[in-house]
Amino acid sequence: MTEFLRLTIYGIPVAAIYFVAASGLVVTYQTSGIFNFAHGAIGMIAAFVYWELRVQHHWPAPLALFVVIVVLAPLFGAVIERVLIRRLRGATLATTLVVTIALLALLIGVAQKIWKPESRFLPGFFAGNTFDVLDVSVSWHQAITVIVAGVVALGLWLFLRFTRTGIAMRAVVDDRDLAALNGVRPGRVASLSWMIGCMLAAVSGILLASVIPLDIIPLTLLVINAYAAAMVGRLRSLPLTLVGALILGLLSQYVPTYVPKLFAHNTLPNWLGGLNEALPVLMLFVVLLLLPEAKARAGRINVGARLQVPSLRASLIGAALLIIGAGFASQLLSAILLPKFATAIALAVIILSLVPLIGWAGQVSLCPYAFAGLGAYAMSRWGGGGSPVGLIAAIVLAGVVGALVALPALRLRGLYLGLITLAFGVLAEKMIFRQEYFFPQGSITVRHLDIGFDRLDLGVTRFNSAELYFMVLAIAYALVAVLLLAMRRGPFGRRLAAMRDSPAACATLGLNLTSTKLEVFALSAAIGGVGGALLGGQQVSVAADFFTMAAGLTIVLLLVVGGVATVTGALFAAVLFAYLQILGNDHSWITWIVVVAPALGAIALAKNPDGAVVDIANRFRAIAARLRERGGGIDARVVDPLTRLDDLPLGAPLDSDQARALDRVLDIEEVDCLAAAEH
Amino acid sequence: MVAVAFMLVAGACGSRTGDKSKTPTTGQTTTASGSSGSSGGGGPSDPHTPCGPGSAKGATDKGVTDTTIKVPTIQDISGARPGLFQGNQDAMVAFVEYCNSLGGVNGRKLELQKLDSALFSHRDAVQQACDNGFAIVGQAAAFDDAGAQLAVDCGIPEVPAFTATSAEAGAVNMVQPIPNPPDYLSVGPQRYLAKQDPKAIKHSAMLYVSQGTTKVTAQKRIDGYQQVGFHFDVNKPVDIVQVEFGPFVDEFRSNNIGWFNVVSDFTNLAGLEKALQQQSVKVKFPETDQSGYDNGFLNAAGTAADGTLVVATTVPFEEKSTSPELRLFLEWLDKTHAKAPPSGLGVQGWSAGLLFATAVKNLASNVTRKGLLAELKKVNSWDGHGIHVQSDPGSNKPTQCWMYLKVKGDKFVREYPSKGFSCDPKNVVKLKGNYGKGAGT
Amino acid sequence: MPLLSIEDVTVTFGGLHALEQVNMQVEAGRVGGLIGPNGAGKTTLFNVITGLQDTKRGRVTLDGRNISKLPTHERARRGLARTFQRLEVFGSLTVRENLLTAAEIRKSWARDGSNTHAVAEEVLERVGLREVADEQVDNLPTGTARLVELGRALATRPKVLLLDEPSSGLNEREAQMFGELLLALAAEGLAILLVEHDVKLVMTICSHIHVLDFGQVIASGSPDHVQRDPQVQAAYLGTVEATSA
Repeated sequence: MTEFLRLTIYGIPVAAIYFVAASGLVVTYQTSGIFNFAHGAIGMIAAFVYWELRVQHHWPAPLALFVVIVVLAPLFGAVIERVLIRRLRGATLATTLVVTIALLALLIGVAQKIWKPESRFLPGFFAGNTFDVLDVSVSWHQAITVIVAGVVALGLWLFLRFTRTGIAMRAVVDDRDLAALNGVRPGRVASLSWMIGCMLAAVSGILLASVIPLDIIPLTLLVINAYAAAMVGRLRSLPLTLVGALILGLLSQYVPTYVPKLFAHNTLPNWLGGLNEALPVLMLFVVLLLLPEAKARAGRINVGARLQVPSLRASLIGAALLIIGAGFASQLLSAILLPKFATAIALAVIILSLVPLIGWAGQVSLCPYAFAGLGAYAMSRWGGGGSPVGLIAAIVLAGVVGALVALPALRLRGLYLGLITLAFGVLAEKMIFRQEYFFPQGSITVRHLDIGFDRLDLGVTRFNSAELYFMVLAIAYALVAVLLLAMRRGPFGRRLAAMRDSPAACATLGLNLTSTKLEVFALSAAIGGVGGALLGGQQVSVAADFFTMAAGLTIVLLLVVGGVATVTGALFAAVLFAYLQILGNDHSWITWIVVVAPALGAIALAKNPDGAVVDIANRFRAIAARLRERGGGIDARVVDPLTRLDDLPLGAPLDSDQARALDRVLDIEEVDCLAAAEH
Repeated sequence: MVAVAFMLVAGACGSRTGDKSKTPTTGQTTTASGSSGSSGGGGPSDPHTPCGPGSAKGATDKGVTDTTIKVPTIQDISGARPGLFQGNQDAMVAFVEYCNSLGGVNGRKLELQKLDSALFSHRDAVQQACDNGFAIVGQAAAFDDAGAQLAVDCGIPEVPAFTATSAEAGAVNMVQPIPNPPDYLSVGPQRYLAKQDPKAIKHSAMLYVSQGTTKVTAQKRIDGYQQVGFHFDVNKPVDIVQVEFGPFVDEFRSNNIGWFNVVSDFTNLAGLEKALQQQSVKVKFPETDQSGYDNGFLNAAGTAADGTLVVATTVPFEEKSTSPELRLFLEWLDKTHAKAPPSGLGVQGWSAGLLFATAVKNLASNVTRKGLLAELKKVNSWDGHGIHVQSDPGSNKPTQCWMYLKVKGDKFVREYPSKGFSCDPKNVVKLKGNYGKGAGT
Repeated sequence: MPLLSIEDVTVTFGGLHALEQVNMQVEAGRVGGLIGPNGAGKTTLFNVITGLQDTKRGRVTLDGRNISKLPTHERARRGLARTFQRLEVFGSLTVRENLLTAAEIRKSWARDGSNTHAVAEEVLERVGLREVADEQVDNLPTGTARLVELGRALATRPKVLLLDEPSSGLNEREAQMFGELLLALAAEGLAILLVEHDVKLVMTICSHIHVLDFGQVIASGSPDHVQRDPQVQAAYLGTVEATSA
């Protein structure tokens, strides 16, 4: 029993950190409807800035804390709200998620540029001072952490319940799918919510950085653990978030102690080796499974995709050109560059897997590498010698697993699909791919897809095995792209576009959204599996560590750069990226492009949900149209001039009429937000 | 033993960095400038150096001409962990410049081909080396299993600074300065402790990051150390970045742990030691491999690091006055504007360069890949001209020698033996478990 | 027997009654009207009927079967179709594709082997969208887009049609033609429930009108009856009547 109590005491400060991080996520989500994947990165930056002031410039702690938490963090929050988030009105969920992921990547990239790798440590507050609780020694830093969490909890509760601003913020709660909120959301409230969110991110970052090393990636990614806590509160309830954080903090202490006791020698069996690290995402999984089904929502204003879908003829010509181009490239590229571009094409297939899902259906997957990893495994296991059976196995395995992963989340709101795929990405990385069964000794061997010959003499030129595989990759990419486009032009493709534009309308037409989402998700996973199998063939020896969740997010970002809805964008982005990296080795300023490109892509995406390539294409089209002097009868959608929250006096208490007016606004906007706030 | 330490770095790098690495396709091939000015007077010199003028001639094998030998070297430079093994590239640049300043090997200048394995492009880098180079020298790559088989197949000899995976550590075409084969282990320090305090080691703890190489390393150590009397009460995975060590501290206390080891990078070791200190749990023998031989560790752990035993197999930088070769290495790092601070890894890289050059020198004019490998396999006693422990690269057996450093205050201080390294044939044990096998075996 | 009936439906938002014990019937072959000031709960009622909004109490019956527990798409498959006050068109598709998609969705659950292209063409003709058939819907004026929503609903061959302010954005002539279209549809046996701000249109084509205010039905009956109701005049119609009379 004393052991249990001791573990509990250890767990509480951990829970406190998770709570502060999760509360920031909740506040931002509640009031702006955006789940901020960059939350951890913002905390990381704050911790580094604090370190810079406190350790490097020897500022006194109170001053440094004040500057970081009260001045810089809110300022940063206001700026990103203004520059990035405000543009997201009317964007699909997929777009908002991808934009915050791009922000995450940007912040990490900038941090890596500013703070070169070296060992940095942030001393805890009043380091070295401890006191005893029962017989456990508790450091002042841990105590302060718990007190801070308490202050945050109480402060937020008071703020949201008893101040006008807080009440107005609370009114704008809840449903992300309901972009109608955007119509009534006052800029002030959104701005404020991002400022508070960033402050809380900064607090959690600084608290965390004194416990673990001040290192960019761990600081950023540890906050993912807090997602589970936020999800217990269903992203709305702060008290429940606190409960979630406590469960998480305590489990993280109980599990490593008690679970091994179930096994011989008090040792975890190999297959459970990643259990402790995967615990938070396992919890996230379970919480998501327990959530009740969400209703389809009306009221979204989606900005639709405006790209023409190429005709069969055009797509075949494009494919032929690509293959011919690849033929020349394979002969012209040096033996050093060829594998890099071959890898880029294989990655492009994985990026392509996200196009129907994110670009066309408006659904989200954040674990493309989990499916790619399964594909590589299938190719290795069943495609001995490069047999096409391996490729079929990759399709089946990735597709089936994809369906199984998505199934519990599909009945929920889109955001939860994003989170569950994120959780699966981590799970695959930490538990599945670490199994000896899948990746013995951490790696597997994958063969080139066997095409019957391994060199080809065309008279004018000869293809060696590497060049032939380059061609196999190019042809595979072209084939997948042509098939996807054919699908896009048919009934299924139209249905995806319809679902993306208005899920509610689709449901009222009799479409089962869940099964449609399931189909497209499985399709996407299967293509991801193909991409993984092909990539494996290029790498030959494939390391399990290659397929990490975070690396998979890179794929999502490349999708953004290329344009989420185009099949050519995937290849464009992957090849450009490979090229920039090659150049970057000689000209370090180019690596800045690599850092900034996803963010620019994201900003473009926020403006035009179909990505930069489409944006450019549209501009050309608009210019062409103007040249032809053909005016389009464009009529902005009329939004009923209803009472706006802006009109409400935020500086004075709401009287009952105003409260009623507020409810009416929400009613008109079809939001059951107050109901949510009550829960 | 030393090489094992680097596996930790390697093992941890894969995911602790979390990969904002974009596509792992970066790689780079540049050649170092062929020669530089002479070494100039004043610095240390090496009377046994294999480098010097000569009259070797002939394009005897791939990468060899009358006047040059093309030497590819492979390190993880870009990728998720930028600059991970920069120190090893620096070491090779330093060595090649040094060697060429003396006239090359038998008069042939070394032409360094720097290849970036970028974590996941090791196989591509090996392919490059196979196509153009004579032998891969000074390699330092976390996922060196990727190209191991390819190197065997294409017949290129390898003299890496260290190996990370079993596939490479046991590869038939590989000879390294301080071997780290999959089936044998150095247990010198543990034998010493078993004699010092047979009771303490009956309660040992092994914590490890549950990931590829680190897990294998932990298993190998448990296997080997048990053979000299250790008993493990605690054998548990830690997170790559563990937030709270309380539960481990409790187990250490309740099991009265007398020795522990954390197979991870040093930040987890520091975290654990701080937690132990906070809860006033004393462990008699906190031991780390060379991954803890880092000022970053001292910074991170502060006073909690006191008493930590560091196993070393290269001459500590604190004792450079005793090793002219170490001073030579440091001087050339300086001369060639090394980007990374000196490290034990780099020392092994320098030694790999020396080992390679020595074998090439013995081949005189007839420099072939086959000949080189045969020559390397003949080297059964090697200490890098006094820069590290005595070892047996030729038969790929772990070293019988070791020394302890101990953290005292904010310094690493020699603990045992009083000078040099302690050697004994019994310091090597054959492992009972199967930890993979080398490429080509 | 009414085709669609709503019994005792109550919806609360955080303790506030959005709908309170609402009862309503819609009969086949008739156009029913639903009016009330902004925020009275009209759209919420539509959401309840189509299953987009949970209720605290009450039930919805379609063709004699309780559909209260069915998900939205199942209700649609039983013959319920609607349009939205705030447009829910498939903006990235053309008008023809909007209708085609609806027909295809219907075919996927009805499995009747219908020719979806023929259905789309027929509806195009019916709602008068042939001229803009190949325009992308996002580029159309609001009024036209509302017709697309109507056409889309028709393409699923519904029994009951719920129209949420379908005429806003139409000019007077278009509105008149629109009214005629609704009457013709009703004449074919369709039950229509119309939420409309254009009081003139409502009074002209509806046989029965329900007035909703603060979530409650405050009046119900023929256009004449409703117009004379003092409560209605106070709550809603008074001002409107003054302008439209």
